[in-house]
Amino acid sequence: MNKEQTFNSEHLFNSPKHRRREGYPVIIKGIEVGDYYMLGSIGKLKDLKNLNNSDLDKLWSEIRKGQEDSLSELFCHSYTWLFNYGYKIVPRKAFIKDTLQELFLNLWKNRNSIKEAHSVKSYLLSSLRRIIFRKLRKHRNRTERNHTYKQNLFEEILNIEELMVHFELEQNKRDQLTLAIKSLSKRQREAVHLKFYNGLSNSEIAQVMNINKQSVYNHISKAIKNMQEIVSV
Amino acid sequence: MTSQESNLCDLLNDESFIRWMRGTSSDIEKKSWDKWLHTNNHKHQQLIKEAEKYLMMPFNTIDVEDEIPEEAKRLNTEIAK
Repeated sequence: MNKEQTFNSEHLFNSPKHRRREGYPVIIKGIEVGDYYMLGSIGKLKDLKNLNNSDLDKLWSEIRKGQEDSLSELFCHSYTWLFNYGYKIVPRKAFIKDTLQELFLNLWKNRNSIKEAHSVKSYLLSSLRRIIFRKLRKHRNRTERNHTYKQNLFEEILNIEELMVHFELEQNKRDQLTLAIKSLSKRQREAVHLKFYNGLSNSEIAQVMNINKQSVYNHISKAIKNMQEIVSV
Repeated sequence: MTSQESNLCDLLNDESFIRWMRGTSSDIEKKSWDKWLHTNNHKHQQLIKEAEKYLMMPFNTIDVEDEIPEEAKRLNTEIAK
């Protein structure tokens, strides 16, 4: 996380410059975020990037009760990681932005009937995944004759150069590492992305990918084994 | 799979271990993993070092934070309709 982008919630809450007034936008580090953005019902203003599972559960519960502020907070908190997950499936910004809008609009419309989420994060990711694939099927049916349908399915989730630096590898291992990553299946790459980027448990990954836990274990293990041969410390 | 690889796979698939690495484990879990660490300290330190590398792997990401206010406004506008 870029430190400059961290919101200093304590400072904002107490600063007259930033105190919220009805109808006035809230400015955070020079970025106007709208008067609905920051004040929610999580006790005090918090860094929306660092909400823990308990905070997410609370927001979820409030959304089910019809609190629109909580929906905005959840949207703002989860936007980046949801976007990055969706973009790995379909690398089209406008498409993913529209899909995220649809996801949260549906969540709001169905707030009275949605249940307590066992994991808010995996619920959002699996719902996003479902909507994306539904839209892709619809799109494919319309355009397959023109062959414009394309999806990436977790290509290039990892940057080889950054991995070389991260694992402190010599340049002569570059090709081996590239091959190790490329040899992973799309499912294995998705599982790796969900585990190590999104921080999901194997149960949550199983829910998102609609597979069993053993399959998740196998995907993660295969990925680690592939890389382990090259990056052993 | 070698014994070391197997141990690393098992650890990275163990939610309790990951919680302990991230500092979000329960007291019972912490005690248990602290004890594990001190048994065969050198080997387990090595495994922790490797596990940390995987848990901190850099991924290709797109910075979309600047879009959040506008997209949040867009959502609110739709809801208000």
